Amino acid sequence: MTDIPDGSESGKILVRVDPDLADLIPGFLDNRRKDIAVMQEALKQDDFETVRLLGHSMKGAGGGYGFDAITDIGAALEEAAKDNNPGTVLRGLSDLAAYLDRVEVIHD
Amino acid sequence: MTDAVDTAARILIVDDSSDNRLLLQMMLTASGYSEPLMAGSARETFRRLGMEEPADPEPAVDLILLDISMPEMDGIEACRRIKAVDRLRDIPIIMATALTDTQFLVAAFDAGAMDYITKPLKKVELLARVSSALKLKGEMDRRKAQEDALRKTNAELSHALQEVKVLRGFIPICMSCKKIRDDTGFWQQLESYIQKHSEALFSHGVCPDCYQKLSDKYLSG
Repeated sequence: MTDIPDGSESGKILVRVDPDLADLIPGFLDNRRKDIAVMQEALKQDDFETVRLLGHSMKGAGGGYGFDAITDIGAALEEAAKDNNPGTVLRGLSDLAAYLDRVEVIHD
Repeated sequence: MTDAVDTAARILIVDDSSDNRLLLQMMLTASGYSEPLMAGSARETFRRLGMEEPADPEPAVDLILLDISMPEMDGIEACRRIKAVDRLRDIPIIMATALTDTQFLVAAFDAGAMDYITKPLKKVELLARVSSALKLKGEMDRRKAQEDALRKTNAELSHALQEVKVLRGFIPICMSCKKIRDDTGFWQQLESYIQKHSEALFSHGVCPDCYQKLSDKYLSG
């Protein structure tokens, strides 16, 4: 599955996903939005372990649903959490929020 | 070995991420497999498999897809514990991992895993590995059934052999009265001894020579 920037002014990111997964996609993306809130809260308490676990989980799940970018962002969050690097974690969360705002799903 | 895949096989998905469980479930059911069982932790898996109380009365499991990275107890330790149970030992376990570090894979195989898949999951790879594991499990089950049947036949033959009575070796016999001394030192009538140690039966009669002798002894004037 490949993220396909459509180049339009709207800045949408179009992603083709397996039609069999269509019903699961809204829940999956909602869970990522919830992850952002949980990780932001964890970061306030220097709880890097929670960030690492959620990043790891995103890394494992994203590409399977067709969202390779979520896998990449998850991997970056996991590594930043291992390094106890709040700046990189915040950047990853910002990337994730931006991606979720722009992503649009196409079912083949 | 048949090429048919048992799509009715009971597959247990173990992953702490509900997103991953749902993804695996959807990939399998969309490809014709029956609804899989699910567990979100090693402990829940043990209950599903009847290893811990309260045990779930679940039917036998044919294949386990087990995530390596889970909180509390990881998939490697869970795999080791499952494989330590005799009745569960032959269930193939495929480890699922986003980890690329080979030390985890070595540990997973050491713990008894049959195969592994990497995350993010690819449907084609998942289905190929599941199909392969189920075919192997089917073949193992058939061979196990054949071994059980052979073992049973062997036991029956051994029992039958014990029932067969055979006379062999030196048998001490009285040179005068023809009684035979048995293992306990008791002197038995020849026919009693032979009946006890063989399938032969005796019908009693008198031979002409003995008839003559008996007649001379008891019937003559």
